[in-house]
Amino acid sequence: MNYNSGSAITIKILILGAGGLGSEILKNLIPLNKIINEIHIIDFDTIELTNLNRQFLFNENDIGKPKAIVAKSYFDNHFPDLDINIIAHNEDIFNLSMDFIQSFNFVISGLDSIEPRRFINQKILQLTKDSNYNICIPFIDGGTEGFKGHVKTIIPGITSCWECSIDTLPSIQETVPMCTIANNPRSIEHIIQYVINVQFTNANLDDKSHLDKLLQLCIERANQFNITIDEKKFNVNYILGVIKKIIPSVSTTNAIIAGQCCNMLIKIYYDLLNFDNLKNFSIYNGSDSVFNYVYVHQRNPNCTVCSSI
Amino acid sequence: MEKYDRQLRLWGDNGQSYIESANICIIGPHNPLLQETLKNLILPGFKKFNWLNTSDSSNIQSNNNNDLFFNDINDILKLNEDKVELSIELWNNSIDKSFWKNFQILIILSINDKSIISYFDNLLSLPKNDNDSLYLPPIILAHSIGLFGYVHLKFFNPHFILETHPDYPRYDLILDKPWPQLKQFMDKLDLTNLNDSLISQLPYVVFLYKAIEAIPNNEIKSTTSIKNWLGNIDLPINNGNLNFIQAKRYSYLAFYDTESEARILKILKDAVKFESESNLWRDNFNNNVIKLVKCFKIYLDEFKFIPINGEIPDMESKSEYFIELEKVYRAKSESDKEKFKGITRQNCPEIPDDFINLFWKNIRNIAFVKPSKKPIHYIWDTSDLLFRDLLELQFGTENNVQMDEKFQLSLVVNSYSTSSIIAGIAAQEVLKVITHQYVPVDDALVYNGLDDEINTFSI
Repeated sequence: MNYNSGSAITIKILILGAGGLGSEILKNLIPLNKIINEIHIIDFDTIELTNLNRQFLFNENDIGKPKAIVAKSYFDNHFPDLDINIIAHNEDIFNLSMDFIQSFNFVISGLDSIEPRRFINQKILQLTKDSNYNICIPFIDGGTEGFKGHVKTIIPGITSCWECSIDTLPSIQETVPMCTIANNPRSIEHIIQYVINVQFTNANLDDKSHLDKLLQLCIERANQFNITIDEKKFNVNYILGVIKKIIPSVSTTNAIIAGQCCNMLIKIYYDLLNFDNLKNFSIYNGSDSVFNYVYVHQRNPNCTVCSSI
Repeated sequence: MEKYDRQLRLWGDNGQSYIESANICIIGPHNPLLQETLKNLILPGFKKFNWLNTSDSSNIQSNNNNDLFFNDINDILKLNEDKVELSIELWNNSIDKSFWKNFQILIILSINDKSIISYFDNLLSLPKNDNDSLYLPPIILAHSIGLFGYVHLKFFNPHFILETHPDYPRYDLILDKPWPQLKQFMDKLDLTNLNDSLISQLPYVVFLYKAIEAIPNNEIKSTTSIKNWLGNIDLPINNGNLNFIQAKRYSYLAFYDTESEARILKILKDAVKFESESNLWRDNFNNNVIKLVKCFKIYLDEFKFIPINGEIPDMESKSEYFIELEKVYRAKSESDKEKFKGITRQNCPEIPDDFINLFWKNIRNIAFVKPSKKPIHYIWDTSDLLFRDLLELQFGTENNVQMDEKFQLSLVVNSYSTSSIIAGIAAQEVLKVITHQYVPVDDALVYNGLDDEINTFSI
C-alpha cells in the first residue's frame, strides 16, 4: 500500500457505473495520467433522455446506446493522444470474475443501487482474505440523491466494509399497509399503489398508451374516494416517480461527490492518510446551507462479510 | 422538459423557469474551475452568460492549458442542445457600474489580482440613493488549489427562501384552538357511541382532540396529560390499533407550535428591518416577499396566530374520515388566506395571486439570509486559518503561509478533482440562490480535502 510519490508506479482502476457519477469520476481521473495507465468502466444500462441533465459525455444522438461504450468513445474522439488505456464493458457487474477484479489497484463506484455494491464489496473482501492480505484493493463508493451524497472508503480488512453499514441504510421506503391501499386510501400515492399493484399489474411503463391508461385509472379511483388531485402536480411523470421511486439527481452533487471519491484515491496513492484511524465515511448535504460530516465507521464485529478477516 | 425530470423533482417548473431566464456573469481566467462551473450551470439549464476573462493570453478562448478537460469553451455550450449564449470579453477595471444590473448573480473564480476586489468594493462604497444604488447582484467568490478550496457567497439585499424543503415537514394541527368547523367534525364523533370497528378507523387527531377537551381547564394541558388520558381511556381499544399508537406517538402535534411561532416571528422581525430599502431592491422575488412579510405582520396583529397551511400528515384512518378532516383544514387555511389577501390587495395589489399562495403555503418554512454590510476585502480578516492561507496562495503572497510537509504535498497533487468539487458547490449555491429554494450557505465554506472536512462560517 505504500506508494512513493517520487516513483512512477502506475495503477489500474475499475469504475462501476457510467452514469452521472461514473462519468464525473472518469473525467477527474484523466489528468492523473502520470499515475494511471488503465481504466475499465462497466455499466449495463443504456442512455435515456432523463440522464442528460447531468451528462456531459452523452448527447441526444446517444439515446438508446450503452453508457459505458459511449463514454469511452467520447475519449477516443476528444483525446486521441490520451496515454491512459480506457476499456468499456457493457456488462452486468454480477458477471465480474474474481480474476478480473483482482487485476485492479482500486475500485471506485458511482452506482445507484445497493446489490451490486454489496456484491463487489464481498468479492474484494474475499480476495484479501484468500490472499492473506497480499491483495488489498481499496473500494471507494460514491452515491448521490438530490442535494445529498456520501463517500464510503473501504480498505479491506482494515476499515469497516460496505456490509458493516448496511443497517444505516434507510429502510426501503415507509411501507403503507396493503389494507390501507385497498380499502382506505387517503392520498394520491395510495391510489397509484393500488392501480399499479391490483388494477393494472401488467402496465408497461415505456408504453405511452399504458401510461395514459394508468393516469385515467388513478383519476377514476381518486374521484371514487373523493381524493383531491392537484392538477398542476399530477401527471404521468408524477405517477412514474411514485412507482419507480425515482431519485432526484443534479449535475452539481455528482461533481461534488465524484471529486471527493477521486481525492480519496489521490490520498491513498500518495500515502497522505493514516489507515488506522481513517475517517472512512463522509456525508454531504447541500439542501440547507452546506453540511458535511466525516467519521470513522467502526467495523461490525458480526459483519457477515468481513468479521472473519 | 423531460430531460430535466430528475431535477424538476427538486425544484419544480417554477425553479426551472428562474434558471432558464437567469443571466450569469463569470469573472476569472480560463482554468478547470471555470470550465467545471460553466459545465455544472449549463447542464441544469442556465442559458445566458457573460465571461469576463482575466487570463493574460491574447487568444482568450484557446486551450494552452493541458489541465483543461474541454478543448474549447464552445464544447461546454453544446452540452445544452438549446441555444446557450456566452459573451466573452477581457476584464477591465473601467467597466461602468450600470453593467452589473444585467445579472442575477456574479461568480468570481481564481482571480489573482486584488484590484478586481477593490473595483467592487469601490462600487459598494458609493453613496446609495434611489436611482443609483445596489448595482451588484449576489457575488460568489471561489478558488481551488491542491486538495483545498473555498466558496464565499455575499448578498447585498436580504435573500428570501419560501420553499426550503425541510427533510421533516412541520405540521400544525392546532387542536387546542379549534374553529367551528373542526369542532363540528369532532362533535359528530362520539367515542362512547362508536363501535369497535369504527373506533379503530378514527384518525388519531380525534383522540388528541377528545383528550384536550376532556382534561379539565384547571389542569395543565400538555403532551403528558394527553398521554395520561389516552392511557386511562375506557374504550374498546386494542393496544395494537395503529391509530391509537399514532395518537400517543404524535401527541406533541396537538398543540399550537409556539416554538415554530417564535422562529417565524424572529425571521419576520429581522426581515422587516430591511423593508424601508425595499424600493431599491433589484430582485423581484425578494421584493415581493418583503412586501408580503409586512402584510403578514398586519395579519398577525389582528388574528394573533400563525395560520395553518391546510396540510395534514397522513395517518391511519378510514378514507372518509381522513378526507373530511383534510377538507376542514384546507377550508380553514383558505378562509384565513382570503383575510390575508384582503390586506395584500390594499397594500401591494401588484403581487400575483400564485405568489401569495406560495407564501401562504410556506410560512412555516420561510428563511432568509441577511445582506452583508462589509466590503469584500474583509475576507482577509477571517479567523479561519486555512481560508486565510488559501487567499495568500491565491493572490501570490504565499510567503505568509506556514507549511508542513503534508500540506506542501497536498498543494502540489493534481487538483482537478478539487476544482470539480468547488465548482460543484459553487454551482449548487447558484442553483439555490436563483430558484429561491433551499437555504444557501451563510456565508463561507472551506474545503479541506486532506481531512475531507468542509467548514462553514460567517465572515
